[in-house]
Amino acid sequence: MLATFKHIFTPRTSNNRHPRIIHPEGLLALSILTITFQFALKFATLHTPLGNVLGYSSSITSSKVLEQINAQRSESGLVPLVTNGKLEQAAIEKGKDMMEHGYWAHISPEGKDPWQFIQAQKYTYTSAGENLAKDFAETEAMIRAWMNSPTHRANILDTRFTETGIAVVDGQLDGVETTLVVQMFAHPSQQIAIITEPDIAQATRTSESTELTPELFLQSSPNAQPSMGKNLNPDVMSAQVVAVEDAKLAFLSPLQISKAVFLAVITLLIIVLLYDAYLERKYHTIRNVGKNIAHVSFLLFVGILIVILKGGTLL
Amino acid sequence: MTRSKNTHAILLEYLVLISALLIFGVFIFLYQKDQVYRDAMVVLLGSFYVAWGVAHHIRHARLTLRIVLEYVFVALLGCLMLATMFL
Repeated sequence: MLATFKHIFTPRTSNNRHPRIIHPEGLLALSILTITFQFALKFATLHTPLGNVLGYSSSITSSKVLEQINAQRSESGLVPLVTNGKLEQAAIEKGKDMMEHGYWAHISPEGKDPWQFIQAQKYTYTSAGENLAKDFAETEAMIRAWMNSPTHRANILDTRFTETGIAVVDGQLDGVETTLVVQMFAHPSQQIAIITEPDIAQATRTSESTELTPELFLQSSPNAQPSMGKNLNPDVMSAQVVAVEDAKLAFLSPLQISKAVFLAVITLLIIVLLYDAYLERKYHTIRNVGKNIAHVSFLLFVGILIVILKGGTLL
Repeated sequence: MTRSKNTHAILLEYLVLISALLIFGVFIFLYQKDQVYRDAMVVLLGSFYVAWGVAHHIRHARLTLRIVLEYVFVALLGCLMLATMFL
């Protein structure tokens, strides 16, 4: 047992003074194990009860998103967004629609644009926007990605928007388990009336809410009618806000497991390579193999990328 | 080639390797949200590493099939990790 361990991890006569694990055969075996592990993890997540524990989803919640979006707006001296139940429902419906019809876009294959989801909730507005995101593990990473994208950032910091609706939707998109985040932004056309109709203004309820998906969009209202009380819509004014706070508890995400396993493999290889290089130098071993320092540099670089890459996509 | 010149040449080659890794790293990080672009950069990264190893051994040491395979499989392992991490 010990001899096998030394044969695999340390330079000896039995392995031609080069640890077996960094022979081409050993590296090929590790590559095959890596890809097998990844597909096994994916299979376990999708098709076994283990998936319930692993959870493909992130720790993103709508309340965290709202909190961080408003923090970004506050830093820019803008008023915070208030959650509106109708916008929230529009975001949920958009997320469900993408899952059900298997698309990832601002406009559905049938030509349904984001504004139709908002209008379907009988919400009238003077301006509106949509941000989408997909597969982010953490709220912070998603917000950072949005802020680094000029178009998504423009929505978040748009001075016209005063209300928002956020939905975080889990499900299968094209057969792949996915977490989608949808955020609708808008400025209601009724707000002008609120100034003169305090009773009506009271009727607009707000709530903390749902979860998001990573994608973003910006557009102006197609049928805005910014006149005064004339445009008041009783349905909007008496809106019942559906607040859905799905606090998701992802114990372990597959991405975190993959990262941990990959980093463990890389660390092991780097230790073996450095130890091998040390012994080679110490005993002046003559052999014809690859350059350990180059391998260490490459693997170290891959390890750093594994740590800093966050995944997720914007649209 | 004198020993000093040889050492300088080797150092220069490692400098090229590190610089290229950093440049690839920046591009992969910046475009990590674009899966096609990210995967393309990962493949280029692996190819560059193999090419660097082959060129280095041709200039400064013996090149054998096993050495080429060693570089290929180190590159393959790293690239598989980067490409499959977000499956």
